Amino acid sequence: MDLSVLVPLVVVTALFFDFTNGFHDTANAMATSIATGALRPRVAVALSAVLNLVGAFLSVEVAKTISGGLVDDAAITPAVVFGGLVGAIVWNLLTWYVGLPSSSSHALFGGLIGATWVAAGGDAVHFAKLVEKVLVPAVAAPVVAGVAGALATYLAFRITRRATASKTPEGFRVGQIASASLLSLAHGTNDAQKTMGIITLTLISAGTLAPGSGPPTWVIVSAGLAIALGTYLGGWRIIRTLGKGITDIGAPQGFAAQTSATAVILTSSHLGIALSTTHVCSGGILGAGLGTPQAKVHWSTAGRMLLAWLITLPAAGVAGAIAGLVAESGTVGTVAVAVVGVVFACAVFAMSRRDAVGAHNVNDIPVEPLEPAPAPGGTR
Amino acid sequence: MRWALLGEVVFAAMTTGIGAVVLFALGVRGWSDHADARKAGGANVLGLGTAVISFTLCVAMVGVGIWVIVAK
Repeated sequence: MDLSVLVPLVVVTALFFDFTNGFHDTANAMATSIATGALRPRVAVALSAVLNLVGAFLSVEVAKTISGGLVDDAAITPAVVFGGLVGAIVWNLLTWYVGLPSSSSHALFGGLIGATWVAAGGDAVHFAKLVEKVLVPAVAAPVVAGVAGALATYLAFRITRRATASKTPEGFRVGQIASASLLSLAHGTNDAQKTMGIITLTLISAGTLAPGSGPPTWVIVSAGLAIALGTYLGGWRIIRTLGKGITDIGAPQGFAAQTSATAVILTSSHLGIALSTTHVCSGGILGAGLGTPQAKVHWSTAGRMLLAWLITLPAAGVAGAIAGLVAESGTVGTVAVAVVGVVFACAVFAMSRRDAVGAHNVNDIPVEPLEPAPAPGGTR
Repeated sequence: MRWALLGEVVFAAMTTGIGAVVLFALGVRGWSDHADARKAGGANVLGLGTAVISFTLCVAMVGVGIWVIVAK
């Protein structure tokens, strides 16, 4: 296979995945801040974009393996990486179009597993690692964040119920900005480095870089810019689902959901188990709804979200397998996958324009209105 | 599967997640009580003290959070 075609294609595809990762995950950090009015929509995504960019430069401790040990690294070729990235992008675009938050990391793992499976067989997939690193944390993350969010919201209401009405939401909104900023910074550090790792390891496998090399400056800059640009363009459809579609969020709920999620993510990451940012943040919002006296949770939206989480890995895996299979056939196959991928992305973007969601209507409620939740001090 | 580590992570994550929110809520409550007292021409030293301590600890938690991100 002609590496002079494949390697640049992998680099461009990795950067596009990074871009979709940015706009897919903006909601995790900023949905509640936008929903409660702590930040204006455009300001929120701009702040998140800048912090993602800064985060990308904070550390260059990129991943030592592309798959994190989920598949046999000896089986990973540039064509497999390309197929995996295409699978992840396809799933990210589909879930973005329907406005469902799903884990970009799980999509990437799914895509790589699918592409590796068709290239090297099922033995190249490490199922025990898959259970340990993906499936168990995927179950644990929303439960932990949901319970933490529910208890935190309940306690926040109890503590501030006799506080002055005007001071309480104002205080919580300020707190929300701090926790959302911290989460954006963490996201830039983790997710931009994932792309840097993919590009660096691909360049090493092609002989462009010496084994053991760190990411060149252009890789760091381009990965940081790609995730920041994606974040700035804002995954408004997912922001609307998380901010308005799951439960009615006032300032205390937004703060409790956001802050407990940020603390859960940073603590778990520090202790050695990386939980999905998407699962934690979504679980935190769901928990905040459950912890609010008389608040309602929109279970149909929560159910659709859960379904998306369940099928992320297999769906991205199937897409990655098909893309990988065709790309493995040679340069013509690789170019064909790239062309089909571009057409697919353009079609999804074109369809999204029919019912465009943006900064102007992100706080419109996409489903039937929920009963407004009470706020401490008697105001919302 | 390292269940002990998972249990440790779950406990620590929930403790910090709930703790951070409770701490900030205490600060908001203290600040609010102090503001009410000032409006009435007095002062609520307990409220102000609670707010200062709580918000200081929250700022420290943000600092620890940044350290965790950078130290990776």
